[in-house]
Amino acid sequence: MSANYQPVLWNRQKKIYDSLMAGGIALYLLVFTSLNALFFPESTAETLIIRAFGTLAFLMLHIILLIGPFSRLNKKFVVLLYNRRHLGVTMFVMAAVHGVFSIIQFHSGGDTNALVSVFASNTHYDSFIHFPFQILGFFSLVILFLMAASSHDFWLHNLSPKVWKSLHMLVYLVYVMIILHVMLGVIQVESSPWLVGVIILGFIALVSLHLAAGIKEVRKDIRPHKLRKEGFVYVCNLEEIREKRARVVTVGKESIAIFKYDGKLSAVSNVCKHQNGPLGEGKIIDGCITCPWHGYQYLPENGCSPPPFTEKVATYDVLLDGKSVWVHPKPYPDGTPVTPVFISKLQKI
Amino acid sequence: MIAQLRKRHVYIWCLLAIFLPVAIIAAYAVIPAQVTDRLFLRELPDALPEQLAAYETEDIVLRLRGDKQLPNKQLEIILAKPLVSASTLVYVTNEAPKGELTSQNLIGILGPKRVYRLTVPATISSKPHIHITLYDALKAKTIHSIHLQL
Repeated sequence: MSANYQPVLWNRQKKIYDSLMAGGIALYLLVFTSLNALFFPESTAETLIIRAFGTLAFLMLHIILLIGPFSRLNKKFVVLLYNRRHLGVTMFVMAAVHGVFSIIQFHSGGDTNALVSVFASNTHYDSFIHFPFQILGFFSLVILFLMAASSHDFWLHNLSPKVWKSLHMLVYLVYVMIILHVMLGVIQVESSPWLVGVIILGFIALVSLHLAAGIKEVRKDIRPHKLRKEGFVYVCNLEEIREKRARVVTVGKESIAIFKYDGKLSAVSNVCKHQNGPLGEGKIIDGCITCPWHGYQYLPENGCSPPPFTEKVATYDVLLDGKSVWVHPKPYPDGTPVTPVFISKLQKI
Repeated sequence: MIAQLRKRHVYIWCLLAIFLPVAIIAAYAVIPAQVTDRLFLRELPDALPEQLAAYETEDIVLRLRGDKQLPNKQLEIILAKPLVSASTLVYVTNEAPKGELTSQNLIGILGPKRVYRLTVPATISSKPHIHITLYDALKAKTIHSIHLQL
């Protein structure tokens, strides 16, 4: 979180994350190169670069797509979500090396412009088996470039979270195109059952984890609520909310986080203004609700980010009846102060 | 994540769970029976003693070789310069091919600049004409079409 735009807000965690990522990339390239030299000594340097960087980008895409569901299923993985953008930008660079070398190797030797050749050299667009698989990789690279170029918060603010998120969800289209790029390209030439097995395993892992995480979350959304006459909705017993943590309740389209802190209860929208992160899965740090995704902060009493920041989220009325916590699902406008409910000593026992 | 976004993710993954297995199976099913990568010869066989026919340009030399003791003949290809195509398939037929080339006529694959010696089956080399087609598998087009007369 920053009041002005900086290329990267470095902290210790990001430095460790990036060091591990760089080390992992170097190790992968070293192992791949060694194995390739051992088993395919006839390969040229260009072929080796194309294969090493292509497989590395493919592996990184899987890791990126796995971080989301892992962090929904187990909060220990949220730290990976925090820094996923660095992994995404690096993955684009790896894919770009693969793409640029492929275009040079396969398309630059003719009398046609190399980029024109990507589209014009194989025109079997109506055939599945002969489909020009290179263009699937080309368009994937274009999307990955747009995602990498717009990954900074500057673009998030200027494009709006909705447009930005829609653009970045094109990563699923990239995944489909890359699978087809591999299946209609290298697999047709090499037919390696190991490579096909790895693709299928990766696919099964991605689909099952995404669906498991989605089902877990959707169940929370459709949980029935006890309603009271005044329109309040039952949340939970007071003891079920840990100190400086929240309980999340979804009523219709409203997802609300009710925080317990310093003998008080306050409710704010569960949706962070930054990237729609789940505020209710964060905790109160230095008196502020802190989003678990990227550390955006809001005051629990009014939903406003502390100065000089300007982000605001909606606030809600809370009711404490004995030890039962209730919330009114009608939101106040973003940043409206609402007096917190004080927990009496009797209720604390 | 907001409920609307979550729902969008679930729909996308349900679609992928149906579409991608179909696409993977379909792509696997159409892999050519004779996988070209296995045609890449790591060990260069010895040249047969007799030269029967030849074709030569600045970039490429083709020699058809034979041995009276052996029914099969040998096509020696010397790449003086790397081919523009990164994955070139070598087909032999008796006449210039009119339709799609079949895997029965595929005898090898060319890669980097070096000497290649490929076996030409007796069913083709026993006739007086041999047509050699160098085919770019990636771009799906013929890059050389050479006729040799024995």
